[in-house]
Amino acid sequence: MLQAIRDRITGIVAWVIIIGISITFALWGIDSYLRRNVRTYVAKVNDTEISERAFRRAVQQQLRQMRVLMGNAFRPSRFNTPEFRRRVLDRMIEEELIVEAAHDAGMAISDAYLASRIRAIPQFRKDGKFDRARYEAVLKRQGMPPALFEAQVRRSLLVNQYIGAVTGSALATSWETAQGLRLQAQQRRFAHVRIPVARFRDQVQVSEKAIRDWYESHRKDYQAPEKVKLAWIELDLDDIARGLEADPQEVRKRYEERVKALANQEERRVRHILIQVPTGASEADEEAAKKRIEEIRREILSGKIGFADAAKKYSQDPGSAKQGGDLGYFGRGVMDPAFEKAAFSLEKGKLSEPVRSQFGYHLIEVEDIRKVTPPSFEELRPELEKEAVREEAEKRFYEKQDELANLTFEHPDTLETAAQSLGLKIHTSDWITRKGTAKGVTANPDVLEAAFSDEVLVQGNNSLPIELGPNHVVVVRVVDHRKAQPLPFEQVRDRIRKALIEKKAREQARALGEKLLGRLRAGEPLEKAAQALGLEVEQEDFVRRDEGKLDPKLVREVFRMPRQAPGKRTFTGFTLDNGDYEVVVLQAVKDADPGKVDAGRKASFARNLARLSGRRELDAVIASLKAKADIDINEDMLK
Amino acid sequence: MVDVLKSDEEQAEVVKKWLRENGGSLLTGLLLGLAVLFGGKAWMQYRARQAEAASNEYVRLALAVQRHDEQQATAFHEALLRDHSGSVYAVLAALEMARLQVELEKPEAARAQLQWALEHADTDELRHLARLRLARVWIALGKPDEAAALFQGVDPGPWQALYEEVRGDAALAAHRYDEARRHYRAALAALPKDSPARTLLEAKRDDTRRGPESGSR
Repeated sequence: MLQAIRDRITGIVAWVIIIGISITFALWGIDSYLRRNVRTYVAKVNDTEISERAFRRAVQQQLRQMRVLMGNAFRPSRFNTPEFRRRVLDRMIEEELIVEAAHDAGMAISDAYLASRIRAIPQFRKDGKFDRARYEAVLKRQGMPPALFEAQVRRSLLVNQYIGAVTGSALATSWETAQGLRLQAQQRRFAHVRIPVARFRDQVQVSEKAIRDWYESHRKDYQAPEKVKLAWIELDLDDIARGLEADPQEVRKRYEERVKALANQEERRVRHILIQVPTGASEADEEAAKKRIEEIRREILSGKIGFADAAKKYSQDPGSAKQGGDLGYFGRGVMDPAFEKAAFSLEKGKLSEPVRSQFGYHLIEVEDIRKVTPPSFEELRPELEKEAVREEAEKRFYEKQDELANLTFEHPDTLETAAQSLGLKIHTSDWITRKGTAKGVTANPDVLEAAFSDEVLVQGNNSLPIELGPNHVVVVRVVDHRKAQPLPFEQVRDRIRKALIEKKAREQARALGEKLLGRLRAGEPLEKAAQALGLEVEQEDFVRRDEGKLDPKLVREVFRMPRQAPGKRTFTGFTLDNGDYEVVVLQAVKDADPGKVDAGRKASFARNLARLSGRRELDAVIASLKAKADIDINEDMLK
Repeated sequence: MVDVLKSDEEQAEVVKKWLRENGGSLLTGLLLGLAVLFGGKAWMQYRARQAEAASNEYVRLALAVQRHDEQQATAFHEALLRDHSGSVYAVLAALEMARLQVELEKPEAARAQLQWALEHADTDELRHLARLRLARVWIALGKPDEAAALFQGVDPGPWQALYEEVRGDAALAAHRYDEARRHYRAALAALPKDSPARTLLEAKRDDTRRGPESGSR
């Protein structure tokens, strides 16, 4: 066949075909080069891409954590900013760098260690033991295959090991601890002369021309800020609830439901003995705790010791050990699930098997069982009425909220329609600046942001509903607007005059201080030099850096002064924040004797120094990894 | 190899002949290649298992150090040196041991560990870490010049602030105040504005000032 092809294709035709084929091969894959300009990742660290999906998930997780931390004060709009997202991304990049550095250095997490850490996660434990079925069920619920989960845990263990290797081995030497303590508790004695600026305020003169010149040259400092007048309607669950009354039939019904739920419920009075297992303890510690609790159990069963005495003697639950392990009566839903299960399945007076809860191993004994007696109708009525009203109010609130959003959006140039339809009042404000008022609706940062936004201020539309708190929203619009404008001279004349007087007075206080310093430089004693200038000397005793009674800047400056050989003085001068001028003569410096610091304080100081040092070393490690890495950030994805 | 002017049969003949002559070496080469491939894989697996074993030992050692259990920590450390002396974990273990010995006020032993770590560290980061800590222990041992000597020819890069501060400490320990102040100043300049280390570093800088007047501000 080769022969056949060769016969037909000769000369120019052959070359055309060969060139055609080579071009095809040469361009093979070129489209992937061209397409490279369209970056589908948020960042690329060396060869690893951080996908948009992974990044989004990390941002959401971070926001969720902040919501938990801050509760009602949390406003996603204030946090989910480009800077915030950038910080989240930076952290992801750092994590990737650490993973790579750990791999490169030859670090690894063993299967056994990985397994022991996963086994210790409380969510995967049942009856105090790791439960394979539960593990798989929990992961399944979160839609995560075990292999992926294990890879993620392995990765984070590796990151932690690398970070721990740097920060955990951080140290503070005895020399550093001694130096730190010597400086921290150093004392200094000094005399000083205060030259009050007030003395000069009455003496200085400021001409009309000087004021005028200042005004002309500092015009941009004297502006009336931009202001708006706002109108808003407010929808508040509490307002709705105030106008409602509970339906007596409904309250009756709720009471009966409550009683039904309580029937057959019991409370148990339980004693327990705890041997703690800290979270993240090794398997060896886990075993040791288990062994210990079994020993105690045998001792009780043998009759050598009563349960209560054993609890007093061995229990590591600080809350109950002294009471012989007594926890009093409790119902379901209060205690650790494994503990509860054991406590409510045990016969009265019997001793339990060891029970593993999130705190460690327990032995449990049931002291008493009693039925829960349902409270009377009258007792529960106020609570139930409130509950009924609240639920009704919530229902109405959500309906009204939707209506409010729709009507203010469909009629963007008025609040009237929504106000009439919903029966709400339109509130108005006085002139307010971007800083807002001290309290009320116009103090809320989200309201102010909306009020000065393009949409509301420039376009003249209603704002979107703004959440002021849980179940409390407003819609605002701007009814009047005043641009920033220069203040007329007459209005600011006095302000400028005052400022100029202050400036000059400070200069004069300083000039007098420098005269005093000149005399000191010439070798005159402080007392004499001060007297010659009509000034008074104040003598201070030894003070420490954290001295709280003196002016903080004075103390700071005193501790910045150079040390001098004993018997010699050093001096300096400076202006305090209030304008007074200070001349200080440092007389003596007394270092703290680290040998006299008690051992506990010393150890804790050393620990802090070591921690600080480890933190800085870790920062340097990360910076150094960053400097060596090839990092490409897709800024468009952060906006 | 295939002559353009010959017919298909002739070419087949040529190929067969070539195979008869070179087939043996071709097969050897192929087998050798496969051996390298699988051997390499086995070797990688062996290395990974070794790293994991060393990692386990190291985790135990770090926990013992946290408990201040010198005896156990030493035992784990010896085991690591015996079985995994070439592993990064031997270096990390030396860093942990040094911390323990500093806390137990055995600076000479800590110095030896850090020296070992510095000599055996394979990455820039670990070398910087070991070198800085070694220098600090030298100062604590009363030999600041040994500390300064360690830094010769080192490019500090992002470690600048730490290096300058240790240089300052070395100069201070040798009572060379002006030199110490220069280094503390450089350290402060390289330190992030909001670093919690700033206060103490400023106090150190200010404490090196010696003279009659600090000038008016």
